Amino acid sequence: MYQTKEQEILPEYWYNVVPDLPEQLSPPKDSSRDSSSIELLKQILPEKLLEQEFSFRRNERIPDEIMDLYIQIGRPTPLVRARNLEKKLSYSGKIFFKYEGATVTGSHKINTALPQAYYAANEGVEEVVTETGAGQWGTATALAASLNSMRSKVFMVSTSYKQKPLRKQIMEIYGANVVSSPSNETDFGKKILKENKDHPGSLGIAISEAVEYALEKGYKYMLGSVMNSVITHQSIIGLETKKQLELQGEEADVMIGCVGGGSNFSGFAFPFISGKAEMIATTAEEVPKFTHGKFGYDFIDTAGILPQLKMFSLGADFVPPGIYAGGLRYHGAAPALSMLVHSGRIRAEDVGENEVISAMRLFSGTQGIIPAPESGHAIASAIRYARQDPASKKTIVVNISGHGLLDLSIFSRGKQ
Amino acid sequence: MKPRLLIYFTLGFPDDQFLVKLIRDMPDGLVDGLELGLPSADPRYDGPKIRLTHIAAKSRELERFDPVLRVCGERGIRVNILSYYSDFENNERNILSFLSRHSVHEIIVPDLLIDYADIADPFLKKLQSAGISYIPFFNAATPDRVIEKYMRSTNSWIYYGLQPSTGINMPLDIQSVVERATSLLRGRDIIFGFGIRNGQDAARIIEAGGHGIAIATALIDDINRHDADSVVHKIEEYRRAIDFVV
Ligand SMILES: Cc1ncc(COP(=O)(O)O)c(C=O)c1O
Repeated sequence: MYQTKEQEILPEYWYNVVPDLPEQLSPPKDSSRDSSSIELLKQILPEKLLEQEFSFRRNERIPDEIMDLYIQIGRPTPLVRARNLEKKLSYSGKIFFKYEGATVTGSHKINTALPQAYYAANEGVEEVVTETGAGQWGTATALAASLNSMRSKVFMVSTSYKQKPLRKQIMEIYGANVVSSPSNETDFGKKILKENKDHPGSLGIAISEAVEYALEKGYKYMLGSVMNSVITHQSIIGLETKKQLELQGEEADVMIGCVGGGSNFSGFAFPFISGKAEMIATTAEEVPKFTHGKFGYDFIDTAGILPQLKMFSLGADFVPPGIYAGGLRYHGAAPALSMLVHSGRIRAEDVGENEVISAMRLFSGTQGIIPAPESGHAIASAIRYARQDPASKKTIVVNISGHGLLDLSIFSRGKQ
Repeated sequence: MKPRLLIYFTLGFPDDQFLVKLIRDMPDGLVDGLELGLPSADPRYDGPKIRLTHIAAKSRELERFDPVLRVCGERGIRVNILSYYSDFENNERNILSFLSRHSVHEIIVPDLLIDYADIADPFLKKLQSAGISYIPFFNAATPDRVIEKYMRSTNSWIYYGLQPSTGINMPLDIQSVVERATSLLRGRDIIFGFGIRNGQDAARIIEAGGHGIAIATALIDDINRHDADSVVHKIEEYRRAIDFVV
């Protein structure tokens, strides 16, 4: 199952969807009248990343050094036919899952952490800074920094910090300095704590803290999702999947993934966008950005330091309910993905936590893999789809963005 | 063909008298055209410097700008008008009559394809019936099929933005952006603008196959100081930089 025909499966180029979108993507918008928050990105992001972000080449060559690292961390990841799940659901079609949990850090996040850290290290940066919700992105950042001989600092959303001590420990093993956000290490964090010392935190707040910290210290900031360059790096998921399906003589009829900021879904689905496959982007019912959010310009971060993007958003000051799937609590979603949901090319679906937990149980019991709660949302959508029409012959392909071995306590919530 | 040099001014900035005098006294043949921006209430695709010119221009009464356009006419300088659709929408009749009064036949609408793509077709028809040619405004984020569509529905030259907005200088591989644009837009003249800061950038664009450049932000500080000599001097530098390539 693991790493067969690796040369054949790994793509040489990342894929950027922008030249193939139905309409022109709205550029980032400055937050204030007389300064440029777009220009500010130059202070906090590696130059090479910015060049990728704004040049929109359809095919972006993967540097050899990053390809080597991709192989090190477990790429290509497996594409597996979920025969036992099919049987359990009496589904007549096929269900495949792409398993990003097989990377060493346990999720897709490492796919973009590696190039971002590599570009930063090439510029002589000593420390990278980021935020993390579920802990997966912080873990990926910590390892990518360590592999590139840099220090890392992670602002971890307070709820997750409390829920997931093991995540924090792993990041620390990889050398990261992890703090709970809102924190006393930034002005923005202090301001929020002053208003509410028990503030649960949010990704928007943690991003603001990380950016403020990076700006103040002259370090580089790492982006976990949302930005186009991140989605481009994540295209390795879909490009591998495409090749793996091809090698098995299969074709996807339905593609399903979960959406936080949109990076795993977009990376998985966009390489198929010009084809006919139906696409379903699953969000948490508790964070219903596509079904209840507004499509328009909104801030990436809560403090409004970064530019605004045209996207579906529940508002940059949205404080999400404390659902377990921390990675899905973000208020917005990547502009290209938002556009494709808005245009109807991609269908959005909301799934609530209880349904997710049942889906995770069913998947674990049939396939043996305990998925991340975020990925559980995609699985729940796939199960819904198969149950709707068990006689269908359609091939469903689901992206399992990560494993849930560090999230087991979610199962005790399901029993409550 | 000689590379083209377009210069952008926001109408009303710093004031009408300065622009009239600047244009009246410009050396012959220095510029191939002027792009004149109608002050916008929401210049969202402009960088901080040009945004401030829109705010400083205050009044949006078009009659006020008649003298500036008259002097362009007298000097035989080709003019195109830049108007955000968000402003055009509210002031359509006045803008069209302003264009016709000054025999301006070209308009650039930077937000049309981005924020108003769904109403672009009827808008283009309206322009056509008013005898005005729509200059497509593309950038690296313009999808291939949008470019193909406007290549079919217009026959104008193309304005191509190198950067996400004016006055922004993101790291950019000029060569690859220009080559991609020229290969997608074969057969059209392409003028590159947004973020050209020096003669070297300008020359690189022409070397890579661009047909001309548009300069805006690089002149704003001098304009703001009412320093016409400096403005002209800078324009001359760009002129030399692009002419030297050929
Ligand atoms: C396992 C996993 N899946 C999904 C997500 C959601 O993010 P995105 O939509 O950017 O893939 C996260 C984010 O933390 C995650 O950790």
